[in-house]
Amino acid sequence: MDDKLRPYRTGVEKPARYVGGEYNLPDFNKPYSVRMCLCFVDLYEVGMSNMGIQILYGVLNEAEDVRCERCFAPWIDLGKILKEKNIPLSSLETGTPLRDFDIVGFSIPYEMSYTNVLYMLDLAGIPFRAKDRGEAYPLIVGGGPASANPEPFIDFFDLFFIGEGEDIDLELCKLVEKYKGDRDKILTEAAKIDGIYVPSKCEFSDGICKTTVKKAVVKDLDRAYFPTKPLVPNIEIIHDRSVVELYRGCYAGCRFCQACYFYRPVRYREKETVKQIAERLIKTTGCEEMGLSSLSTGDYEDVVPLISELKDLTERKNVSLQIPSLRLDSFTEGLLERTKKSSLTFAPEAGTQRLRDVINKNVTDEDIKSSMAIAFRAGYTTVKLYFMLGLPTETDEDVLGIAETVRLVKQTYIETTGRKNIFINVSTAMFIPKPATPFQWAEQISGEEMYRRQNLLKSELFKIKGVHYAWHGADISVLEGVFARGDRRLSDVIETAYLSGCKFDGWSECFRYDLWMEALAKHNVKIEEYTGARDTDEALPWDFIDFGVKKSYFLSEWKKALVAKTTPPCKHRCNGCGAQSLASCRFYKEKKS
Amino acid sequence: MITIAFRRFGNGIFVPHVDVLRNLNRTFRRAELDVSYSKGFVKHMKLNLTQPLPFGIADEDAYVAADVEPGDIASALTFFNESCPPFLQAKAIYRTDKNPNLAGLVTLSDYYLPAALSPEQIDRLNNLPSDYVVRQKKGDGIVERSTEGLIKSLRASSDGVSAKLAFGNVNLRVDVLAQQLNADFMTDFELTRIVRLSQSLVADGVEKTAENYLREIAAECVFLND
Repeated sequence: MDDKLRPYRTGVEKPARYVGGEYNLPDFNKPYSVRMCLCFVDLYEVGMSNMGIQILYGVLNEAEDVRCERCFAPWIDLGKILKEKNIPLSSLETGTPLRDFDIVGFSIPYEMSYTNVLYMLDLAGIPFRAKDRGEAYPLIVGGGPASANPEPFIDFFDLFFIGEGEDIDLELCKLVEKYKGDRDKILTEAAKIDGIYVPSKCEFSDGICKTTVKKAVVKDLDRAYFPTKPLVPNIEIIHDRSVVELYRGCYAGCRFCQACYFYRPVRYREKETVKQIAERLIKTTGCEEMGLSSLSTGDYEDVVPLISELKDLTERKNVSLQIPSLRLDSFTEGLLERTKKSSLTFAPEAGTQRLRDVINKNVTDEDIKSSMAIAFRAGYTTVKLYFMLGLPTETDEDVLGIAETVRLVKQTYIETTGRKNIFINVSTAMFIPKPATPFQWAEQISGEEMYRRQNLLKSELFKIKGVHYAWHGADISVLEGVFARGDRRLSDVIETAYLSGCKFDGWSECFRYDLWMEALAKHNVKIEEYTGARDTDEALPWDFIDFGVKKSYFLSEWKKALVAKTTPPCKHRCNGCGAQSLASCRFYKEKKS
Repeated sequence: MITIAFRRFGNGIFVPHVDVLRNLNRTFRRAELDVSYSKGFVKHMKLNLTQPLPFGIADEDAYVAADVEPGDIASALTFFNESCPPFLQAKAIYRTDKNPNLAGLVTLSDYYLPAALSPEQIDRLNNLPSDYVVRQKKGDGIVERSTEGLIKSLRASSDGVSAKLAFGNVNLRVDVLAQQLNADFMTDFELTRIVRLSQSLVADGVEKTAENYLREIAAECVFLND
């Protein structure tokens, strides 16, 4: 490999990010006819923590005739060197420039990573827009969680994976192998595959796609591929542990949560399969920690026996089992047995029962009190509480209710332990209406109002001893809101923002609100057009996607939200959301006529 | 107790010391060598690594002592190497009664600094004054430091320099020396091409390499090419 970067490596921060060479690298001597580079639009440490990257990398490299390599966004220091020295952005494994691959696939985790797609294309010497790329360039493919609404940045892609990519990426590779050199034929055939959105092959009316694209889902998660020999990074990454995925989708039905609906139907990996994977991962990774991944691990049906059995396995090997994301109503003493007594995290999300009913967070003050009492009896002295501000129908009473909830937690600690030495970390995020949720029609409050509510809460929490408050920035939340429900007009804004210096927008030290405002103004885009309430009759930019969950279901949930009426979790009763149309749902029950 | 002699090479020079330790932890676990753990709240594998090299320097002679008693150290060497990330390789395993504490004993390191040198440069480097001064960063500033007693030997030839430098509690950083030589003699020593060849210590009044020391005290040892 011609390592043009070698002389510059000692001059950049964490050069080990850019050298690859991890344990468990696949065999790159196998013959291949299609070569793909899987790109992640953030740093190595973030991308290697992403389970989707590990799954796709494993699936593709285990397939015949396909070689998959990786590339992560270089930090600003290296990006500058690449640009100055005219060294093209290349893959980690073989140092091959991105433009020499057949397919370059971008995994896009969220709205504020859009400029990094352009950053990576720029460093690779690949034109930004699909219309400007001919056969000489690789097929540029997008996917990942941002696929619930790809419209704001679709002009930069030849095609887009909607939903879960592990099956359809192989189908695309087969097409590329079959029709190599005939891009139009590849795109025509790709458009026929469920889960692949090819804008150049779709019909449009008033800028809105009218060709339905069905979201791709893995039909049988229990038998689906899972990487049991994942790459083990040589440096510490964000989630530095081996991970077993328990299930996809969520039955809770919180109305603000895109992941809950986007990953439906609920599909399980059975307990025995999870144990087999865990056992294998201990051997193949050597990681000192193991995590369980799902949208709400405490809701997994067999969670207590599973954790108990996994503990037997991990403790024998001196591996620490981490249990994240617990819902308050799924918290039991069984879950706490043999866990470390350090800190627990809960997300009541809202401070009053009325608002919790609006968002369908089926949690009561009594649930909070009883769960906390269990935790405190078990020896926990630190609690993290997550809330959202700016939720639909929220009033100042709801904002101050967060402080009341914190007081309730503190009081429960005092009553349970007789002591006062509790630490409560309170964190608030701003509500952002997301596509494919019942709140997709909701209004997002303005930046000024966000600051006002944050300050209101701050002044109240300040009065409670032992509380630390952290909040998510208002400016960045406004922009997330614009792009979450954006349309094709925003691609010009993204390009202008990038060219004026915006990249790594999710990193506070890089975020340039002023440049974004200039870019929006240059293209006459008003923030309120995107953050304002949407009419339920209005055609939405993402309406062409068949999410499984029906639009009529979202609408009925939206109407119930406005009158603070809850919907029970699917495990108590199938609510007929429609996700069953894509694959078998764990909780589906046919309605009796 | 075993001590493993290993190399860190290739792109491994960019992996920081703390991450080398993390990789060694994982290698031991993958190799199913059951190293004992500390008993605290956060349990640590009981490993003792020799002192870190400056960032970017390859190492042909690093050591890690581990509190484990494998039945067969030849198999342990094989398992270890099968479980290593691609930038590490075990060269030997020594079985000892207790931790040899190399980090505390080692006082010298041998390096090779490759670079094409002119006859004039060779001459000047071979006649480096005993009180040669290097400048190095300290806090926000630069400090000058005499190398007297810190350069045990330095031999230049047309393709580079072999140097034996103080290492351990009294230390002359090879990267600092290389940068100073580049500044003073217009040489072209690249940090990422410098290699540490061996570590030495003084035992019973005699200077010896760490490898020879371990051979003497080990109850049993096995080498990669045995």
